[in-house]
Amino acid sequence: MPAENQNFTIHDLDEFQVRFNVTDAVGSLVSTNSRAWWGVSSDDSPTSTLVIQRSNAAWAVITSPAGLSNVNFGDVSELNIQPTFIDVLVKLREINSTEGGSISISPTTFPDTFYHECIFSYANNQTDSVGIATGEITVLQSLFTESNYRK
Amino acid sequence: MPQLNQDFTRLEHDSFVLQFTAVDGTLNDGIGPEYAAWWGLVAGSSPAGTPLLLQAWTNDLAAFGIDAYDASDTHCSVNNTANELVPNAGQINAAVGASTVTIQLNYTNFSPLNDGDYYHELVLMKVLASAGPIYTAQQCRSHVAATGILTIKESSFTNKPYR
Repeated sequence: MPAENQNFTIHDLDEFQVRFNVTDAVGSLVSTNSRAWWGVSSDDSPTSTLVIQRSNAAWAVITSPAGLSNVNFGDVSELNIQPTFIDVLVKLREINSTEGGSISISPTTFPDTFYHECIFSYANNQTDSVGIATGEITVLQSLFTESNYRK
Repeated sequence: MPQLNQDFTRLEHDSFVLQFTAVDGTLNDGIGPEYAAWWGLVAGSSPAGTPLLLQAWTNDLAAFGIDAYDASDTHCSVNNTANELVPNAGQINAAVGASTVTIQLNYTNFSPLNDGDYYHELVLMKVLASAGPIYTAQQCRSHVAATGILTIKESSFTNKPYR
């Protein structure tokens, strides 16, 4: 079952790590076909556009109806599946032009909240996947960011 | 994740040591000598709106306080117009230990500050000197570790004046 209300706080433009501990799995999370997917919405709703995405590898995309593709937000090394937990690293920026780092959730007013969600599959596909966790990220204003030192 | 509400009170003329202790490992391997830290304080109870009144950082300006824009590192490109952290009258030193960041504050540091509330913030950043990604002095690898309010109050003995 997904662990809901996995809420946490960062400050504007922080690099941060998230660890999802899985306490009810049957066996290890690690297998050849293990895939995990973590995303952050553009606001506090799960139906909004994903502005940060991480996955440990390419995902078998459903073609009919069209599934969510593994857009190249971040390096696959930034989502790491371990036997009992899943780690995610978020830097300031990511490889592609749409950023995909913490700069993607830099608010114009503070504090602001963003919905996040972690999904796991033993079978490398979306139809056999399960929600691991959902929650909100609260982004606070940073003194050094406001003084234009951290950018 | 940041430790919020790290509030404390200072009476006029007090000197003290401000020590932050890492309890959740922060980034990567936790806090330690491989980390750089900087701390700042502004007037009021919010991080917005006023310039830095006190600041402290580890290492020297050449190693850390500069804007270290690196266009070749597309994972972590700092805005090259970001401000440099420059010394002012309140600049002091921070020391990073095995699990703590220590900032020693004395009367001279606080002399420009009147009674009232001041927002303070500690930022940490891992500095790697070895091969691999060059983290040195890149502001974009940083994260806020602690924030809070410092309240400065009048002292009876200061007002007599004894101190």
